[in-house]
Amino acid sequence: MITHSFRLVTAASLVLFALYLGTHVQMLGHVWRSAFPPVDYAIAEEVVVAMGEGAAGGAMTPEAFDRVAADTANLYYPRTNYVQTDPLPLDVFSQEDQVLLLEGGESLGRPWERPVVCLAQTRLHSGRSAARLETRLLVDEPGLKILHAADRRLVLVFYESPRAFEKAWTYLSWCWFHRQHDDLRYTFEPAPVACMFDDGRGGGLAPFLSGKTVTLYVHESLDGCSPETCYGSARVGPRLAVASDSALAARLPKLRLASSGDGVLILAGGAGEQVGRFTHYLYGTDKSMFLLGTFGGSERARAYLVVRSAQGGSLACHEDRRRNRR
Amino acid sequence: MTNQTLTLHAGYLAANLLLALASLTVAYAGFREERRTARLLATIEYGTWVFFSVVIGVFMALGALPPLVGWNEARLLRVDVAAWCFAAVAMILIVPARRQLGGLCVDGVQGIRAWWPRLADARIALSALAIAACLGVGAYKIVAYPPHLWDVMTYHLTPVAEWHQRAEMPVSLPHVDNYQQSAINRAFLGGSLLNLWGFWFFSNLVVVELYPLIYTVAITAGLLRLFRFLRIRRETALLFTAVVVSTPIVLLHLHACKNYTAYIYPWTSAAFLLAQNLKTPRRRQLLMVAFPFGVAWSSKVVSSFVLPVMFALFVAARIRLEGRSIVRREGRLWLAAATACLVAVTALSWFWVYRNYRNEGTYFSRLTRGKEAFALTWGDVRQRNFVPGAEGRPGLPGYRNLKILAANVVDYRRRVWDRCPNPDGRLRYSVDGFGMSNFGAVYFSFGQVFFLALLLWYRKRRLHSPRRRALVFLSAVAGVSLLMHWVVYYNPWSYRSHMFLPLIVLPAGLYALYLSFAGRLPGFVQGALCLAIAFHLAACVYTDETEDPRRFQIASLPLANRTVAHYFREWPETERVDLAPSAATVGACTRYHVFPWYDPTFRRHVVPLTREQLGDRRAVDEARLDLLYFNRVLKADGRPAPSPDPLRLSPLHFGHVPGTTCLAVVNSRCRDYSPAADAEEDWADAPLANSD
Repeated sequence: MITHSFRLVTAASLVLFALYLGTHVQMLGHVWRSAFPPVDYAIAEEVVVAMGEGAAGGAMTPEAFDRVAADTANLYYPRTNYVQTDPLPLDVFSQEDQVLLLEGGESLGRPWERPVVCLAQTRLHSGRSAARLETRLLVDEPGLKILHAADRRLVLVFYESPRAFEKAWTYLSWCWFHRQHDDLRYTFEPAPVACMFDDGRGGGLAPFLSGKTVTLYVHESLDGCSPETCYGSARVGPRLAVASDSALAARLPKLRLASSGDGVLILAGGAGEQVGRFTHYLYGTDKSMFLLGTFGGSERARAYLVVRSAQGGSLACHEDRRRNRR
Repeated sequence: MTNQTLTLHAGYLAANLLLALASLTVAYAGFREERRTARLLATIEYGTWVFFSVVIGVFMALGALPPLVGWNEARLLRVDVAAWCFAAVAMILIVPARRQLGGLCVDGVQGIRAWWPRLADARIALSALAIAACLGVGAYKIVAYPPHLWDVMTYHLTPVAEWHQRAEMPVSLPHVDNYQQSAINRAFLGGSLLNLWGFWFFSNLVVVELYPLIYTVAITAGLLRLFRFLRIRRETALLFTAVVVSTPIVLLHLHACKNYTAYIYPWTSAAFLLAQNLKTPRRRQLLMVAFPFGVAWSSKVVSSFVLPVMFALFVAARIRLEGRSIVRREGRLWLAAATACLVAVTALSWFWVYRNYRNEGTYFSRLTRGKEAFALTWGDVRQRNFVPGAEGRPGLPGYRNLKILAANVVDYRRRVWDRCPNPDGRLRYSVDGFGMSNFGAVYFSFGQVFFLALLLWYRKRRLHSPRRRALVFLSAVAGVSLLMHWVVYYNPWSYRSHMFLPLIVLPAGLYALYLSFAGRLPGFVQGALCLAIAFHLAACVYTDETEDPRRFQIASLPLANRTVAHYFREWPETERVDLAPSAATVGACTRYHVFPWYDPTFRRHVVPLTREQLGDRRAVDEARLDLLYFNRVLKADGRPAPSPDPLRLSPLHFGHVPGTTCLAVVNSRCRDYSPAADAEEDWADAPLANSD
């Protein structure tokens, strides 16, 4: 039998044990919520993608959306409808909508430059749907805020940049992943670069690219990536000549050699805000310059896009986009 | 992977297996007087230390020796050379001990046969399952996640990449102008050598953190052996072992290549062995202590103080138990053991010692710099400020150290019981992660309380056991070591440096608990222990609220893309590191760690640069950089600080560095970026086509 003194010691230990578990039980809450996220974590039966008609909205074509979604191979992928108009028609939102407001790029920092965005936000937050919007800041980093509210239908309001879309999609994928207990294969692939050429209106790349031939160079050495498997001509449009250059496979100085010439533009994908700045800068100037990066940082999709300044041709993917728009 | 590479890695794996077999045989020979189960457990435990002693010794000899003796172009620190050396050492070890090899195999088979039916006992099966779950979670995290801790990025893994690329270990490696970064030329990096050992299995970061897992397996065997030595019943010993292994800080360090694991585990293992030899030392076993002694010393310079003190405590305990006459009888044995330890330390740490004298002019720079050691002010302590006080100077412990000790005592609770989850993500990548790295529920309750009871009622009949002296010795080691830590250094967060506490206090406390219930733990106690194991396992699961969600996404990336750079995408200066080609040579101008610039296969060359060096265009050009990364720092008001003057680069992300042949990546977070302002900068007018 245990003696009296050890009984006291055991009792003290048990009290401390309960104290420890009680104060750490919050940790179990994290585990639980991570495994079983609340229903309002963007579980939607239907997705509506509403895009503006500016550079960013124009960049996000339905096929771009589909492609990014398809990259997350085993993902539960809800039915998707696309709405493209500017300013955003808040009528598309109903009382039952689950609204995920994606706000990308620099509009947060410079709201006065984005009255449409601000207006949309204001109306979303204070308008007739306000009661349904249990807003919560999920991601807070420069360039992206995601606010969401709970309901059955999900509306993606995609404003500024493909980058924002990428991040949002990542987040949604994660939510769906948890919900579905499915295998998630997220890659860091961004919104497709090719579509960044798609904008036919002011502010985009089209003014600069008009009358130029675009050549796509792809690193052959990287994990079997070929133009067809990465960013093939079919995707970027018939007027884009696709070429591969083994010289690019080595190092960047060679890349520079390969891309030398007047009016060289080396474009790299991924960062929507980067391209946004770039297009701003390009507009109305014929300065030669280059940006460099990769398509999203994934080695598998690493490729360099070289836009060579030359005469003739225009980008046919404008028409492609319009034809495919739903 | 080409056939040649495949053959190379297969050969490396085979050589490691051969060496592992030889190491186990040597350890087996050292413990052949023990009973079978104890012998097998000791073989696993000490075989680990023999194995890693050889690895560290071989790597150090291959990497550091050739340049020092004038073979500047030897470049011997390569997979193939290491594999041949392992095979050769294995043969050297195994030939004299070949007779033990058969015994080891027979014992192993018989041990499995004997243990297999015991798994029918639900308590044994559940405890074994819990241990397997703890080790399995660690193994999964090692494979799934790239290394992620601050210090690992700073000075544990950076030299690994450099050694791999250079195929040698230079006395001084380049680093940015940062005291923490300069630790790559100051710290004892035996653990980093073992990271290199892990890296070479796949030439990828995928199992670079493998050695802490193996260390944990060794210490698990050691704990089980200790509990059995204390005559605790088999099923209870397994349960207690599971409790200790499931301690949150142990689970966290299972997949962290921090040097705390690297030195505390072998040190604790050596302490266990000394404790068990306290009554009647066995010559072979005492000599075997040299292996963990050498491994621990080579992995952290603090071992230089802790290990001799432990050995001195052992000698003092022997004299206390047997009287002074023991010195005459055992003096030679102690001398032999000390000599063996000295040889091991010399073989495994000679390069660190030589390098420190060359680079710093001292063995242990903290002592001579008068910084953290003996130099914190009370104000620093009160304000949790780790910056040393202005009046700090080297010297003997004094009044200041008493104040440091007092502060450490006051913060003891924080070290063992951090209760809040990570509030703002600041310590996400710290090994002191909130809520995950403490000493756990059992330490906080039964462990420390019954440990105290054991010490208070040491002579009480219920706690009387002929083997309790072993626990008293371990308690003395823990107490003295804690005191040594607590009088020289105050850091409320770094209870990782006290990781030896759960490894010693928990066994002692659980033993007292066991004895107080006369060896029959009631159901509610067993239930509490099981609940604690489950709780700790659940708490060590990373969630998207305790960790960066990208960590999970990174885990799903293909192996070739699983680079640590993804962790730092929000850092302005490393935002797009992952975009650089693997084969490029990049210059990194950063105040912090440069490791994220390496790719997972260490093909990319990284040149750390200071801002001053950036100003020297010729130096930049001579470095033959393909890309130059630096940050355009934002000022407090959110506006961008001026670019480094000599370059005057645009806040756009890529630009050509005038006067050089490299591209610069300027990672800018200019929220108020103005294209018009940038148009005025001169980079756009620089020639774009380089004729290099």
